[in-house]
Amino acid sequence: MQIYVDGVKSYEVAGSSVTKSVSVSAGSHRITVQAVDNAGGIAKATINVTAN
Amino acid sequence: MTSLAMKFYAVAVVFPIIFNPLSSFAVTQVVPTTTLAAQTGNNTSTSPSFGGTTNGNISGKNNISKVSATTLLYPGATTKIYAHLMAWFGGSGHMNVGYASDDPAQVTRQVNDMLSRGLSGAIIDWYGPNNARVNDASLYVKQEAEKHSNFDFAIMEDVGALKPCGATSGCDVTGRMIKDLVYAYNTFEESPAYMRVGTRPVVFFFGVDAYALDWARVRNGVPGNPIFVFRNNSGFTHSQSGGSFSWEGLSSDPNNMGLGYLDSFYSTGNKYPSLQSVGSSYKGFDDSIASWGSNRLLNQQCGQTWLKTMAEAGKYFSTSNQLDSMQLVTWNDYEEGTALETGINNCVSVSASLSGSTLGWTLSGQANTVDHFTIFISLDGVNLMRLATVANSSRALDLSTFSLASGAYKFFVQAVGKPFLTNKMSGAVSYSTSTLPTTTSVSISSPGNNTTVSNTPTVSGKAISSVGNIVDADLCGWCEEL
Repeated sequence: MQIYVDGVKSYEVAGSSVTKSVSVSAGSHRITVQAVDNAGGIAKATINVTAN
Repeated sequence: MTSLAMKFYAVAVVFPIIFNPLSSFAVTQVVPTTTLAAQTGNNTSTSPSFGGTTNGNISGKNNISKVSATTLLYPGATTKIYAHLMAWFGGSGHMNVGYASDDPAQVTRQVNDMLSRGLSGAIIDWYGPNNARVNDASLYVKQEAEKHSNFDFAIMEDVGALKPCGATSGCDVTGRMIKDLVYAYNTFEESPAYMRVGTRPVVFFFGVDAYALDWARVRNGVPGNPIFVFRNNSGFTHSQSGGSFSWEGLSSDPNNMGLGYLDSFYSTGNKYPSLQSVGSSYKGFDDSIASWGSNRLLNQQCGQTWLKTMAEAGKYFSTSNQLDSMQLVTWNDYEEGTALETGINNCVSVSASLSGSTLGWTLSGQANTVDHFTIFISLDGVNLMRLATVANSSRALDLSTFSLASGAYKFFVQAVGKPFLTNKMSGAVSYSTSTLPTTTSVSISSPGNNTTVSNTPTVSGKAISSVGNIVDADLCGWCEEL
């Protein structure tokens, strides 16, 4: 799985779950967690956060 | 074994798996290995110009199963299967089937076709050395057989070889037979490709007992100590008999497959274990277009007659009591409607459709005439690649189990017939991976959406996939947010 911050890959790990601290600057950001399965299927979830 | 495991066991995946060096996961690449035309067009030695006949011979435009005919015999059979070959086409005495039997290229096509269907050789309906066309064709069969270590041939002296002598006052018919067999020995039987039992060549006879022949004289007059094989039950007790062959079981009932005739032959043969038993199988019979016909009819029943007559030997023979050989009646007697060269129409059709990512298909007709299904994938609908081979009991294939690159594809389902029966192809089914239903979902448990976080928030997420496997990240260095 991969974690993207504002569209840039920040971290990736094997398996079906991920827990990781990422660094963001102050302000609004889009964080996406993405997974690719072995049938070529791609799934993702995106949240918006504000760092202070 | 679980049902799921059995399902996968029944599917043989045949596509090439390519590992993208930049990335990710095993990707199915479509590398065409055949064409739609090749999989639906004539793949037999039948002339492509042969348009089919009203007595049940299908045209030279069909695609025929090349599953080995030996698969229709009993388990563990070592029985050799021979085609009965007519070599008389190309002249005025027989119908035009689009080829000349004495064309060496045609003989090559026929031998190759026989080999491709799992046959061990051909038994030639022979009219003696004075019938130039048949004899020349027989010489070509000999030459062709000698090119293949797994193909042999034999001659069957037909009563037609004796008729000119028999119609001539004072002609010595037994002497004619001896001359023919001496010629056959010197010309054919010394070939390494000639059919033998042990070291003895095998010679068959068809209908020659129309004449009162002196068989002791024949035996003493021919070299090579050949095994003489006669016809029907009486052939086992015929003078000088080394065995017998069955032919077709015809009756006044066109739906009577003649299994009783075969039963009688096989049970009689079992009483003579030291003699050769040569069984027979056939698709049907209809001599309505033969100049010599008498409207004898045995219906094909869309391949059922063929399948049942092939299977009948299994009632009498086994691994501990092998049937010596089987003769297919016939390879190409088009006029009597017995030609197997064209294949047999199993009257089946297959229709395919897509539901989500599942390719499904339905079959109309008799499912026992289908050996298995082959699934083809194509980028252009013209050039095909075999994607999977599926058991004949299956009617669906989950395409999501194949790692197809994004794009548009066409799929075809081919119902591959039992040996000698027609293959039937579905129409094209279009499929795009962009329409692939979501099989994997991702959720983020923290942080919450639209919340305020520190400069180092901990992101937690997980994926759930019905496919079952999330690609390892270390294989996904190329991944970007998609």
